[in-house]
Amino acid sequence: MKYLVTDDSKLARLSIVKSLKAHVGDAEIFQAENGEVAVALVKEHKPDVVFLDLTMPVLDGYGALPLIKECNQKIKVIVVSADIQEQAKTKVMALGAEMHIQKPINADKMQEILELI
Amino acid sequence: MSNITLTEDEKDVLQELMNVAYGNATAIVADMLDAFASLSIPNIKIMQTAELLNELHDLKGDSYFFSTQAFAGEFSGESAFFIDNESAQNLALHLELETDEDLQDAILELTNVLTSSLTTRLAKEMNTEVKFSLPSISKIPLNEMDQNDSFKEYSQVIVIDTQLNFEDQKINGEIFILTKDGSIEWLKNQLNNILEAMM
Amino acid sequence: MAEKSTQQYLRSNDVNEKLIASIDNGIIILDEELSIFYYNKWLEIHTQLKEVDVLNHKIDEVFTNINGKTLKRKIKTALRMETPTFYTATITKYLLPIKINQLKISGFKHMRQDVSVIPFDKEKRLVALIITDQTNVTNTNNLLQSNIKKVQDLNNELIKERETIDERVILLKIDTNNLITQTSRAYTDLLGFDKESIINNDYFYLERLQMPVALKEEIQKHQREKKVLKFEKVSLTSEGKEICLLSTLVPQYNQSAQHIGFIIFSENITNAKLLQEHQEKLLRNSRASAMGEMISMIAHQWRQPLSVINTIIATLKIKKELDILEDHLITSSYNRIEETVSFLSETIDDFRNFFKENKELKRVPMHIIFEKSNNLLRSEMEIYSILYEEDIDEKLLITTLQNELVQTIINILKNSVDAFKENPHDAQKLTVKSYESQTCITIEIEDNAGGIPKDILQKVFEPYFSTKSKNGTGLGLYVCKTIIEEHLKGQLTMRSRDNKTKTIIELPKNVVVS
Ligand SMILES: Nc1ncnc2c1ncn2[C@@H]1O[C@H](COP(=O)(O)OP(=O)(O)OP(=O)(O)O)[C@@H](O)[C@H]1O
Ligand SMILES: [Mg+2]
Ligand SMILES: [Mg+2]
Repeated sequence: MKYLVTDDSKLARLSIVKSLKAHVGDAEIFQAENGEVAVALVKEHKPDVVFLDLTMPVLDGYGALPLIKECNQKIKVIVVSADIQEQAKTKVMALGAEMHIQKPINADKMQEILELI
Repeated sequence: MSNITLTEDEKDVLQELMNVAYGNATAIVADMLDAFASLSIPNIKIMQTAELLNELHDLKGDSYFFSTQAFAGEFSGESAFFIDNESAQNLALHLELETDEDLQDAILELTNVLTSSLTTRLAKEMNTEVKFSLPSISKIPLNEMDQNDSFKEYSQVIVIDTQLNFEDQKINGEIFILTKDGSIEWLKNQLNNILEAMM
Repeated sequence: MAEKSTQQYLRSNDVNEKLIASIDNGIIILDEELSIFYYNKWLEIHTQLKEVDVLNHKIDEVFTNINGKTLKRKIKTALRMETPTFYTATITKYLLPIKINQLKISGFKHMRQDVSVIPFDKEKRLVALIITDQTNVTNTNNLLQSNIKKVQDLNNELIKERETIDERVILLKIDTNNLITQTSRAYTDLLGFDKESIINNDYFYLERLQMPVALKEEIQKHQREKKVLKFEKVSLTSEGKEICLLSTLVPQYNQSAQHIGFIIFSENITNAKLLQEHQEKLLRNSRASAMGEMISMIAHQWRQPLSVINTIIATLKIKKELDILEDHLITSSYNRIEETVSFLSETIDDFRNFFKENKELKRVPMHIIFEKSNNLLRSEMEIYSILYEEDIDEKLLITTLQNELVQTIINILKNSVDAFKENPHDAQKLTVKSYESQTCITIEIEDNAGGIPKDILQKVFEPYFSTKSKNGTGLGLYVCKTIIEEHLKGQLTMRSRDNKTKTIIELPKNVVVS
């Protein structure tokens, strides 16, 4: 399994990577700091799971999500965002996200996520 | 006092904590207003008070409602919320408010909700607690801003600036969290602890 | 231990209950639907409603002024956030209408309240409303606000006043070393210098080219004695224009009565000065012309007596040659010559008196004034057959500057004579009249020499206005007007109807001559 963690915040990326490593050991984990880099990495490395932030510079999560799904419908996109408004959730689900998780992510939450997919 | 600066990493951590806290606050305001807000990336700067005043001058619109709420604790300071006249009128329209008093009350409530949920959450992320005082409001033309005493006690402020943006309702506001000199040190320390825990 | 037992006692007795009952705040517990679950003693007292009577009632039904929608929103938000929401006295004024009975708080009918909506029980969806009396604070605040406003208004006025002073008053401040410490805008504007180039300069150095030594010494003397001095001085503007300033030097002291320098206030009298010079010139001119006129009048006047003397002398000569000169003829001739000569010298005296600068008030009979005026005109009037009628009480006295008044009357009479020459007819008549009322003496001079058309009458008092192509300077009436109105504080008017012209001079009885 390959993972891609997308967030403009280094802290956010670190926390996802850390809790991910706790469960999947030394799986391949790529990192992107915005939507555009994420789409490029998806094309290059073809990850199975993408963690995607919503508010990012250059290309935000709403913009990147359909592009990622276009590359490969089977990629599972997990939106990890601070935006917990009901409308935000519905919007990303409609765009093909697997789930919408509230930030920040810790090891326990990661466990749940990995079990669900 | 010597000038404090934030490193890239510290800025990143604060930005992310703020992002989380603000997401939380916006959800509550969205609930309260029964509307959907678009979130933006918070902007973080340490600046001299004079610079801040300049920044505020550049805000669009000529007449602003300006409300502030102080918070106290290990992390202490003041949060300020600006909403331009047009947005305030739109808020009144959206909430079906009839009198000016009701509108001012609603703005105060908005300030209170935004700043207390924002600051509470921010404090929680930094493992501390804050207490709030009653918010207060004034309607000031921006050119009188310099005369506003609220900012005078801050020599250096850390400004966390976020847009509140309800597109459909055309309600825009800007939130500033200002912390005093001592709190900036404390904050830096705390941000580094969080960062270290991640490494 | 004593401490422990007290703590236990406190815990077993309901501390909260007791404190809450006696606390100086109103406390209500509500659910999301606004039903009242608790109503403390404070509220019972202030609202005069018993808890039992309000329990389970909706608060917005008990107090109909409450906007239920807003309150519900605040409650919902407080519960959602898990932090309080608020009503503030400054904006909402009050939530519960509690009447104020205290007399000293005159401003409000109802108690001003801050209200905190505190999440109380998340599960049961209950909130507590804590109501704090803010009446005094609000009242003080309002008073403060209105006073701040007053102070601001006053301050604004003061600033404006200072601005006008700065704009209008030509002012210069110098310290004890004569260094200029302050200038007003009026000063720099007038002289066309910028402030920076003047400040800190030595006053006397700055004025060195325009200040006569005597004046400098005078100023320095007054400075030593710390006395006020008024002085006139010409200053040059940056463009080299002369400006005449009337300045006042005033010593300046600070709050502890220490002498710190001088203020020099100035008034720009350039225009007034110019006007004054102009007038003096006009007067000089008119005097010169009057002199010429009078010499010609003297010539007229002398022709007759001189020919009388000539005739007498010729007769004497002939009789001597024929040797028929008798002694008594010599004596009578001698007497007539003496008489005539004394008349001639009288005329000369009048003439001389007239040109004496005599600014002293004199009390004289009015008919003497006319006698003196006529002396020089009489023969001309005879030649041109002008009937002169005078109606003046012999006892009428006037206190006046005699020469000036005589000059005026001569000018007026001369104008009439001129008009007759221009427009001769069979019934030429000049009438003068003078009479007094309680406050003033009036002189009327009337001729029937054709009158003055309306458009000309409007201009007769203007300097240099004359219809007499050859001989007229046009200053006559202008000078008359100046003498009567400015020197003698009276009034001079002219009217004309049909073929008549009437000149009226009104003079105050109590003259104060400037
Ligand atoms: N009694 C008068 N009858 C008709 N016109 C008069 C009479 N008095 C003055 N005026 C008119 O007013 C004008 C101005 O009179 P004023 O005495 O000022 O000057 P002037 O007589 O022309 O000159 P000056 O007095 O130097 O000989 C005269 O030119 C004349 O036209
Ligand atoms: Mg982000
Ligand atoms: Mg004349």
